[in-house]
Amino acid sequence: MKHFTYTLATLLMLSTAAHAETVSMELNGLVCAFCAKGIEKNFQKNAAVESVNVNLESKCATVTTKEGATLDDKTITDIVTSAGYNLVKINRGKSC
Amino acid sequence: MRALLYLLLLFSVLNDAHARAVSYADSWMVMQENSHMGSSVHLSYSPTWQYSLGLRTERMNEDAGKDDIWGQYFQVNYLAKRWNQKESQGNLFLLSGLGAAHREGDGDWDPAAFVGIEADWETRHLYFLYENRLNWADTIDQSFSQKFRAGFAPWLADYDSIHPWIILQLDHHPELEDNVVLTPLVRLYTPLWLTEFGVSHKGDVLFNWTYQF
Repeated sequence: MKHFTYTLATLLMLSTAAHAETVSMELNGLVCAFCAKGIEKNFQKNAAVESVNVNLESKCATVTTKEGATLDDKTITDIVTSAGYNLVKINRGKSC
Repeated sequence: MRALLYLLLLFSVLNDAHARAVSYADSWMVMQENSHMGSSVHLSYSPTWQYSLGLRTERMNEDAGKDDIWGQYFQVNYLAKRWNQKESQGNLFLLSGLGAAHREGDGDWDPAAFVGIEADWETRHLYFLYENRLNWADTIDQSFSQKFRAGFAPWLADYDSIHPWIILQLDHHPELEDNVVLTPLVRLYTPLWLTEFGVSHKGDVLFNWTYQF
């Protein structure tokens, strides 16, 4: 029973361990790499962000957070808007 | 930074580079242009994505027998309206400059200013631009010029790759003898830099470059 309890506790701890989040967002106006540099730079300024990938083909940007960090919808919307683009949709857990 | 500014001023000449009039928030942009119109250097800072503040120095070519005009301006550009669609983006910029100008060889500087608009619309395949500028420099210069551009991307590139464009530019400067000039040009850009080169139908070289950081 003790062994089972220890195993269960370990599994619970592993399941709640910090992990990075992948968030992709569909954007309007994403037609020019020189102009879209602002999306990349704006997200990189946020302490929660590990990496940013912009995809002009799919009109989408993917952000990966640092371990244990998250980006809420309002923060994402503010960052996109302050870069001069329109946010269409946020997709959590998947890339562009 | 000061050394860079002096260097840019030394190579200064006229006109508008063809990156956007405003860059992304908290960024700097340096643009240098050369064409039949003259040459210019423009260094600007964009506190937000909607406006930029900068310094411009330029030389405007005049017809034979007239001295070229030098201008130094503090320039403010404002993105008045942006239209973001799924496959396109349109922009309307208001441009303005306040400073001084003089004719080459004449030591007297007159107060000078300019205003203009820049409107563009593009997709990943097509690009159109219209820009005008109304110049005033007291007794030296009152003139109007305008520019049209139409272009296409011969192929599409990934975000971090070099993006190629073929563009035809038409300049209209009513006060000059050659008041309509056509220049086919090639534009290449990445997310950080942009360059354009071409030769007008009069044989004048166009070479522009822009770097944002």
